[in-house]
Amino acid sequence: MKILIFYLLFFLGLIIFQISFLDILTPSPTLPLIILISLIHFSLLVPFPQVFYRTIPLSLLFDIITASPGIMTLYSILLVYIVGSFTKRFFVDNHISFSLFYIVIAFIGSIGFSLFSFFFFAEFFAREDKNLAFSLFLSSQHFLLTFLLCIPLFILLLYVVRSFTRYIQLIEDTVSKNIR
Amino acid sequence: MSAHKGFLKTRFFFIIILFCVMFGIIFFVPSSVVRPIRIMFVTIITPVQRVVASFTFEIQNVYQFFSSISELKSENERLQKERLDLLAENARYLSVMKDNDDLRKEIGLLPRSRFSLKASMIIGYDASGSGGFLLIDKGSTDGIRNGMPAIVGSGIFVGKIVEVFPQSSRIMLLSNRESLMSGITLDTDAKGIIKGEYGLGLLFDMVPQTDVLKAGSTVVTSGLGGDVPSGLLVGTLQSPHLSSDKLFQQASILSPIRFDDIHYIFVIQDVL
Repeated sequence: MKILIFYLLFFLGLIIFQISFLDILTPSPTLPLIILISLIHFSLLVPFPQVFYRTIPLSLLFDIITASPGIMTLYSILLVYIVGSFTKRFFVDNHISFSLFYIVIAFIGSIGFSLFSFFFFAEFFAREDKNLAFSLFLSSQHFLLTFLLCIPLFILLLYVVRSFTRYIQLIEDTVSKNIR
Repeated sequence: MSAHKGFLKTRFFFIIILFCVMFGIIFFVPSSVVRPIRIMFVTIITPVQRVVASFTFEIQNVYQFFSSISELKSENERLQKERLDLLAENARYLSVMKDNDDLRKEIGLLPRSRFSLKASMIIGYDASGSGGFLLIDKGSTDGIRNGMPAIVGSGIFVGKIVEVFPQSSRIMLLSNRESLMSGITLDTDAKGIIKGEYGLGLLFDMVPQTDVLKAGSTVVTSGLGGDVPSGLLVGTLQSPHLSSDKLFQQASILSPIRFDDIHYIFVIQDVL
């Protein structure tokens, strides 16, 4: 129960940081980078089936709070699977290469979210709107801003998510010791 | 048969099943079930959002201050000139206003509408990436209702309340792609629809070809339909042209404010 509350508070913290910090500071339209990068970190730190116990509640909570029609939840399943597959196939030994590799993955994952939501909503767009949305998606400013934001956020969230998972692990270990 | 069983144990199969299950949950669970959960979480996070948003606006102000130092001199000169122009214009309007008041009194007309406003702070922006929503720190406990218009300054229209929580509300900005509002130009009385363009700008659309559309015309709300009163400023027209089907005229609207740079907002609760 204690662990569940910690997870809930952590997820709410990430969502608040996204809505009331990053979205205010960066000019619109922006992407939910904090959530996307956190999902990537969870998929790097937690083994495969268990990762969904962390990522689905986070993305579902984000969708519920922002009244988005489930795009993040559906996208998170694909993102976690793809990142998991990459981790399995490309083991990167060097720390810096590891970070750079996953910053690029985070960037592609974030741009992928734009593309996913574009196709998700495609049937609701008129033809003129479709062209506008697609040119917006392809704009160099959009790419550059996303990439520049990905670097500091990836490093910051790596530290935050890693510390949090370690702390939760510590609590779990203490609980299991007490039970024994 | 064994290959079949092997596939059922793969990660890919697991993902497909999970995706389908989540798809089903998302699209078949009615909104009446999700809404109470949403209200609960939004109510929990609103006080924290208020603090975080105030802190973020402080950071933004410091950044804007430092980045604007180089432009201060030219900005100051421009504002001095604008101030003189506005002083002259204001004097002219004061005289017109006095004449107008006198005439209204003489023919027994009621005074022009004044608004009952509720000041509120922005506590969150759109996280979905479409740039079309704002979260404010006033909700149903403060008398906010769905459909109420939101303005900045003395009457620049920015959007409408679309969702109300106990302590916060969600505003759909005019720049949201789903936003549609009836508008009119002040000088030529051209009527049309004000549409949002992905949080980037506004379009004055569906203007009949018989109406005159000029660059530089001021667009205001027409007051047709909904709770939005007439005469709220939307912006000025730029580059009028024919729509792609050649049936209507359209023009982009230059708003006097930046939608991603609003800190405070007034919700019109009532027209006095």
